[in-house]
Amino acid sequence: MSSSDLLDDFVSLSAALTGFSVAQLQGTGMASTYYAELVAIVGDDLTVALVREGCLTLRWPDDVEEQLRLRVMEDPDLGPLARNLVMLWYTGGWVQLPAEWRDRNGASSLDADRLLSATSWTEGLMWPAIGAHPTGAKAPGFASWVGPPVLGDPS
Amino acid sequence: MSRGPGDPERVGRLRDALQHALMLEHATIPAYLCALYSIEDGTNVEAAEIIRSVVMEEMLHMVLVANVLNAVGGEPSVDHAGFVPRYPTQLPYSDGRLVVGLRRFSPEAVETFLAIERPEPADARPLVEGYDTIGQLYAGIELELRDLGPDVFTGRLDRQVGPGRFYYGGEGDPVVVRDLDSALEALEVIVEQGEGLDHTIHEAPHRVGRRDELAHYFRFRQIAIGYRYRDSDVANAPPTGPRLEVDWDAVLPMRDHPAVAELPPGSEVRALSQAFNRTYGELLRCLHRAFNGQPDELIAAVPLMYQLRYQAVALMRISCGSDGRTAGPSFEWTPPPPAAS
Amino acid sequence: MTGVDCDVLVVGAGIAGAILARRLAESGLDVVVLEAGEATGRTWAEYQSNITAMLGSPAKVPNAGWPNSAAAPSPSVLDIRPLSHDGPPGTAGYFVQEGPQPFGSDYLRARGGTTLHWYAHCIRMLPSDFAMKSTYGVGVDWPLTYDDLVPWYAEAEREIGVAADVEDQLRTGTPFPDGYVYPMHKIPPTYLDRWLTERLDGTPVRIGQETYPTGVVPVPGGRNSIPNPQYDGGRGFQPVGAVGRPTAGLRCEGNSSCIPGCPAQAKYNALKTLQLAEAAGARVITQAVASKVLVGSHDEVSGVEYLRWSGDVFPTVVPHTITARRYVLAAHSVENAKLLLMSRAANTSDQVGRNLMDHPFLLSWARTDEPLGVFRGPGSTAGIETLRDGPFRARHSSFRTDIDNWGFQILGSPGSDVAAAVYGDQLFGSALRQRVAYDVQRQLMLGFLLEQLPDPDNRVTIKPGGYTDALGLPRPVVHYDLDAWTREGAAVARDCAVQWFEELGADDLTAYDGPDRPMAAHQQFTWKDRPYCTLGAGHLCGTHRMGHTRTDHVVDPDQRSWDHRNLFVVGAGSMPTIGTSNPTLTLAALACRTAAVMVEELA
Repeated sequence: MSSSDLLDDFVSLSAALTGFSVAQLQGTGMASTYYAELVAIVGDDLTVALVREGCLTLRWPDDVEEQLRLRVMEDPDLGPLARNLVMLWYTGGWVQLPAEWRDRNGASSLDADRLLSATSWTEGLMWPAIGAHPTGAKAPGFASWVGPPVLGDPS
Repeated sequence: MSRGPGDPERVGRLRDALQHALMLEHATIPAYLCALYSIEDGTNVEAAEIIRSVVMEEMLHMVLVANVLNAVGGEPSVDHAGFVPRYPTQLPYSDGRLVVGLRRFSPEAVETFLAIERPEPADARPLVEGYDTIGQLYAGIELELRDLGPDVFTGRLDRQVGPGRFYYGGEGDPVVVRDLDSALEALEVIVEQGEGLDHTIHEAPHRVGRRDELAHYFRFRQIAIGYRYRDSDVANAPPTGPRLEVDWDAVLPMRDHPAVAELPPGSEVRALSQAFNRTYGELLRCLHRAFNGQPDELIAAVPLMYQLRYQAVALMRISCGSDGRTAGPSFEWTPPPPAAS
Repeated sequence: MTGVDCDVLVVGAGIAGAILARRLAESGLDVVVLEAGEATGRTWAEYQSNITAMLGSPAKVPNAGWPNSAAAPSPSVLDIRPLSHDGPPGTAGYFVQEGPQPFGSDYLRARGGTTLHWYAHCIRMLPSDFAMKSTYGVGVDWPLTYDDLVPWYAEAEREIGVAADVEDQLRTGTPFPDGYVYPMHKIPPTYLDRWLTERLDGTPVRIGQETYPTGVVPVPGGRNSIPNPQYDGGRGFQPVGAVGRPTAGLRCEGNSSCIPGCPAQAKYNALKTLQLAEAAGARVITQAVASKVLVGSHDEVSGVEYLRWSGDVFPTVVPHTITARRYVLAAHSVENAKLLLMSRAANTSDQVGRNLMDHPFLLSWARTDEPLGVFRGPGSTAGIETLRDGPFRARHSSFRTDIDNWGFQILGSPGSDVAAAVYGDQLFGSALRQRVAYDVQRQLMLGFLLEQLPDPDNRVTIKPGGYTDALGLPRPVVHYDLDAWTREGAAVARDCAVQWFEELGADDLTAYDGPDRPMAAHQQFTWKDRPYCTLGAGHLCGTHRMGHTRTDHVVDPDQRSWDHRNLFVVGAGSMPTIGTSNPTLTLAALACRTAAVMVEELA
């Protein structure tokens, strides 16, 4: 599997996990950064396993959520990884993996609670999720706070 | 030339010329914005500031033209299909040679901007129709205003956009136009900010204590050449000021002249592109209302302008096609959505 | 000018120091400003480097992203721990917290000072705030009245650039001269402000046996809005943009980041005033920690020793002494007190460092059944402002109530909501997205700023030879508590919140102990068998209070030291009471007044 295919699959899986579209995730510009981060923290094998297993579920478009739950979220190794990936997309930050996971799979010094960067904060999905903007960035302009919140998918 | 302040045909041609000027002032803004938005955040700070400052002044020019048009009893029209050109477009001056498209920040884009803003030769004739340069158009408008006399100013004062309401983060306030003097002042600001005063590199300061600013042409020249002008520099010599660093690689790889039709039907990126155009359409409708009796609508325009940027940058990060280029804002006019039931 | 290095030496480049430096320099005097901390914001790029650091900080505490160094350490709220009764002092960070309650506020030692990360609430004190003793029999009276400060409030509102409409402000009980106009119109109210106004404004709220009207009133903000063309007799007002990029920040653009920092500089910061001071010839020397006020013959201050430092982790210093005709300490309440105590100066009253007051900040939060549009706009654009005064102040503190535009951010939202949904409820995909949107949009947070009375045992002191910083200078040792008057005020405030949440039909989620209590609220106490916890509001007052006599006061009404007639000690430390308003506007007004006295005397 070529690395660009892998990256595409990573984004497709991330879209299913986050509830945002592939285009919206690409629009953050963070996809390759997050992929690289995952590889740096847990290694190639686990990352590829997550992407492969996750993308298998996309073959059942009517049943993706259930399949994801069975094949990924409830898997003792892939589940914590997937949840961390969701947090990464939403908050721009990494949360240290659970102790039992680290016992089984190893502990990296990069596996620590941290905010990746100013950019990951700015591109966090939690802000568009709540109909707002990242605090300290992407200011919406004078008097933009006057109207009712705009929630839901703008496109 | 016949005199006659009440000559309706002549006044009509004047209003048409002003409406055309309004369109021209707007037509380059999407081109400037594409270049501006494509600059990677935090890089090329000086070049970005230059482009942004020119955009802000072009928007001021739109307001000034609308004020003059309103003052002579016209009705500026911004929210119709013909208002927005299809890019790439030939600007109706410079003998049709000047093609303006939507391109990312690049040496070619900056060359186009220079061509747009190039000062006109001193001997060009003022013309309201059949002009070759925008300078001729404004000179023609100015002559007509002088000739038609004070009775041409029939517009209602409450349609004027005045200081305080129009906020654009630039210097100078819009001129409230009510008579010949104020109309000429408004037009003078436009011409001097674009081309410069009397073939110098500067705009004339219009208010005491206002910082002396370079005309648009010379601001862009700094980017092209890579050096800043000093106040004492002259128009026909290169700038002698400090280096202006430009990183041409720190630019999002937006494809040239993006269009919705190029994007796969039903695709997410197409939906995002259409969403951009909807925001843009809302902005134009907002401006239309502001120029037609509701000047406070300009306050509502501000958040829309901010949204345009974020939507544009997101598009510029999405690959489309196999050439390594990305999508981008197409600035295509969209009719308003049907009223919600 | 012979024999001295300058006309006026100012210690501290925050808002008070900047206001004085500007006015004195513009009157033709030679002014030098010493700033302990580092420079920032001299250019747009310099300022943006701090903003980027702020965005990348995992904990968006007030000092996040701003300069910090071992040579000029600033207190950090991250260093505060709960204190146990009879336990050891808290020594993490800069403050030494003796307790019984940890002091909860921070400030910033840097060029520009704490206005780099303030909320920018610009609220005037009320007339009775100046006369607590004679009106309510508690606290003390100021040697000035509200009327004395009226012209200075106006000057401070001009200097800062305050956005408000007088018609709204009259509802707070603040008197204004007829026809007074603020420089700019109020910041447009948020959707939340209007939502609350529709439901709560004018409804009765019970305090004890009395009912009061709930007044939802816009808060005057020190941030750029639409200029009021009627300001200044019709001359209008020109908003001041960012330093080094004057076309930025001419209007608030809704970065929703007043604290820790405004990326656009639409919010006032003292850099804007420093810029003018320097344009008039003032010299600002940064990384210059004042280490001693020298007292010579005739009890005159004869110089200030300072240490010019380099190296933010392992500093080296070069000592200097600077002399002037007049000296101004403008290093904020704690540093002013620390410097005077170190120097054994200006303290025959024994009040230096004493009477430390903050606004203990009590939170109450609830979930509404409708979206509120939170996380947009300045941190707060309105408050409940009609309970700041009343006969109850004889029995308990009053308070003002912040309506928080940022939901439960102070509790960790929205990140904490995402974490709870992802790890707690195992949600993902669109179910997660909808849950986060639903929950966060319904977050109603109210913050009560409680008053404190001056108490000589609430104090900043130093222990020479004891706790020291990297320059060998003593660290501030703080002894602090909340008295019964304030604790009863907390109970009353809490009860008001309960009434309002009931009126709104909102789900009260407030918890002051247990796992749901705010983790940042380290001031924990019990009152009438109920637990409460509060945080600092970032307000530090009282440590060099003013008064008519030298016996109990450090400075006179002009903020001149009673002990050394060529020394002025300015800032919130001069305030004998704190009232319920954020102190910056008042300290700025006092600084303007002192500047006029000094110009009269020197120029």
